[in-house]
Amino acid sequence: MISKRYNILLWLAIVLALLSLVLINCNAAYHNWRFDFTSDSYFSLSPKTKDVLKAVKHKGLKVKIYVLLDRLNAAYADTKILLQRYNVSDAVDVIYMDQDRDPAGTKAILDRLKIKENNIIVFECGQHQRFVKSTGLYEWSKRSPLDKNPAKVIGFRGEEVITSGIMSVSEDTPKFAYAVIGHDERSLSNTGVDGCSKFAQAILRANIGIKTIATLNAPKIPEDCNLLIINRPRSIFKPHEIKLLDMYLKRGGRLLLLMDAPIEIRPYQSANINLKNYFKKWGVTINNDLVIDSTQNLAGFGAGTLSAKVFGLHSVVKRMGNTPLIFSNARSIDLPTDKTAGKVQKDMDWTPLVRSSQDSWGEQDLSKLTSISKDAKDVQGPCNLAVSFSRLFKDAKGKATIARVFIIGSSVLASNRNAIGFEHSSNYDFLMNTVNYLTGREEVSGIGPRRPENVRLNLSRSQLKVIFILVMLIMPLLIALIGLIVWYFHRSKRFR
Amino acid sequence: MRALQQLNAMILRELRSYFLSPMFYIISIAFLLMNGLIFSVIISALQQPDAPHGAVMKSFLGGNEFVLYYIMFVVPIITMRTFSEEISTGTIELLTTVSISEKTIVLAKYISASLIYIILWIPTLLYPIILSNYTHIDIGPIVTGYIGLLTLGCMFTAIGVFFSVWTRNQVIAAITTIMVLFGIFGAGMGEYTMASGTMREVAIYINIWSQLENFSQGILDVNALIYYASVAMLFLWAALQRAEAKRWK
Repeated sequence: MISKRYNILLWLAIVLALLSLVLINCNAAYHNWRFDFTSDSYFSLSPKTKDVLKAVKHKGLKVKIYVLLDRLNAAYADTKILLQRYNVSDAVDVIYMDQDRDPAGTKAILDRLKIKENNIIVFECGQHQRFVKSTGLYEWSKRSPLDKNPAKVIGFRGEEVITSGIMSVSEDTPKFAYAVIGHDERSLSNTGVDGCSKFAQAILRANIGIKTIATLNAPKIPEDCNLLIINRPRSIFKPHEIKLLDMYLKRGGRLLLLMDAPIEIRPYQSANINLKNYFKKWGVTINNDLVIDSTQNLAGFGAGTLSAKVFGLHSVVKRMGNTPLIFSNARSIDLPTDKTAGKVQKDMDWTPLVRSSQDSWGEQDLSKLTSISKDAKDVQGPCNLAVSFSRLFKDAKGKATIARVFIIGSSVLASNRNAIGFEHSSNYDFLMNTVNYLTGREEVSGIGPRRPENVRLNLSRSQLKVIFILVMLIMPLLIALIGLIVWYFHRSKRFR
Repeated sequence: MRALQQLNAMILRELRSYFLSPMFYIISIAFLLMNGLIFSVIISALQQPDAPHGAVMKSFLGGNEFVLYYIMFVVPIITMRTFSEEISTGTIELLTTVSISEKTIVLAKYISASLIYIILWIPTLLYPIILSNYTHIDIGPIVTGYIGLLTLGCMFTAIGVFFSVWTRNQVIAAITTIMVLFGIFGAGMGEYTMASGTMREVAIYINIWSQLENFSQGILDVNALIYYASVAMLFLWAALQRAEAKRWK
């Protein structure tokens, strides 16, 4: 009788114990208690992403993320760890699909979304959908045609890509940036060092479409233009083009203007005169100078290449900390001062973003760049290298619109040039923050890539041998020696 | 207080018997040889120009499945003697007659076996120290990698102790434990074999390989720690029930 009762109680206890195990783990599974201990927070979400997820949740939306990556692909493991962080939010729902094991289910989703690609991550929210390829998740090393080794991963852009994907499908309309052409601008499609293809790729990764516009022939700037980019124009803007620009800005347009110091253009005084005159009317002067900074000159580069600190509390630079940007062939931009503020247009707001140091100056005499010295005619430092300003306009019906303009005094930081171009991490962050801000995506401003711990050891043969002897011979022998000593003392104690 | 003293005394007794046994040194040497070989292979592989991105310690602590395989063999060898030996030699009767509770005995045997497993890993701490002479070392993933390996081993130890209570034959105890550990490992592989559904979600949650990989990447996976702790507690509780049942018999 006792034995029977004991057995019943035991079985009951076993059931309860198993139930507790399941309940504890079910509860744990609903939480994401995972903490990133990597030195560069490789797998953590940035505050910007958290803001995006909050915004999506606030809108009452849910973004479905279909992961259709090959499980043997390296991107699968990195993406999976990262998506665990996203999956905590109610704003997203991550669904893993396997093309090999569930071809029918995967095909059904791909057919529904009308996608014919493989190895992709798909974002879907309501009627909106986007996808990114697995290769787009990484930043790859450069490879010369003679190099037989494959390109290497030098950065993981997972967070940037996924957050942008979530943003793009949760937005009401797709975003487009228009690049102005016809003035010998730096091309966004040029993959050479003077081109800006890397900048363009980053914009595309942010799910902002890129189109070009030849303003000379265009009747107007298209309505779907969220951002107009004028990237180092080297020939004059005709009055018709200035009129188009004016109409665009008056309807609340966003402009990113990058202008180098006019050292390559002859005669530099007249280049872009109309564009400069247009902004002069706003109270903003684009100087015909080259900014020189003797104390912040970048070692190994010419006098015109300098590092400059971000300035001000504008949201574009607020989160960038104290990291310097690299400017090359930069010109200075003067904003309205306290004295001239009364004379400039009403409803105008401005802020400097990047400034050179106190010791810098804007060299006005560009004909004698071989012997540069600061004199009274030059623009006195600190010089504004990048500025932001906005102006309130009202149409005939009294509807208010705000035009926003960013002028950056150098286009080299958007170029493909090594070390001083777009690849420099601060330049990247600054430009992408600017693009995201101007397209109304402040939240996603410049989520930089994560650098993997890329250790290819370069040990000599003798170093390898030392390690091998140490771990395969000395360490096990030491343990054997300890064992022998213990055995000897134990034996002698026993026989004493 | 008395129970704690008894527990301490029991742990010391168990550790002493491990350290005086040649088996411990044989396991230690085999363990170090295996680890040394894997470490050397990883270092050689990362020397190649087309080596994938990654770090030596990340690959060593969880980026390769061999670590998991030999833990699944080493732990049962440590735990097989915890109860089986005492049952076969009859010394378990002595313990139970000197008013030491079964709870203390099970706990002491579990703690000492876990400590032995942890001690086995201590010499491998020299690996990152050796490596730091040649390359940059990120301490975070190394710490989490060891946390993962040690806590997983403690869960395996609890399972091993449970099977050791059941039999007087050490080999049977070890083989049964190895089979169950491979069963747990295999169940987690469902993550890669099942297409989707609740069962796959469960497989993802219990996948010890992917958990170990997360730890080695620098992620402190508290969910996994909860899983390890809950499974360990279940098996220890079951071992205790079995030990108590034996006394009543």
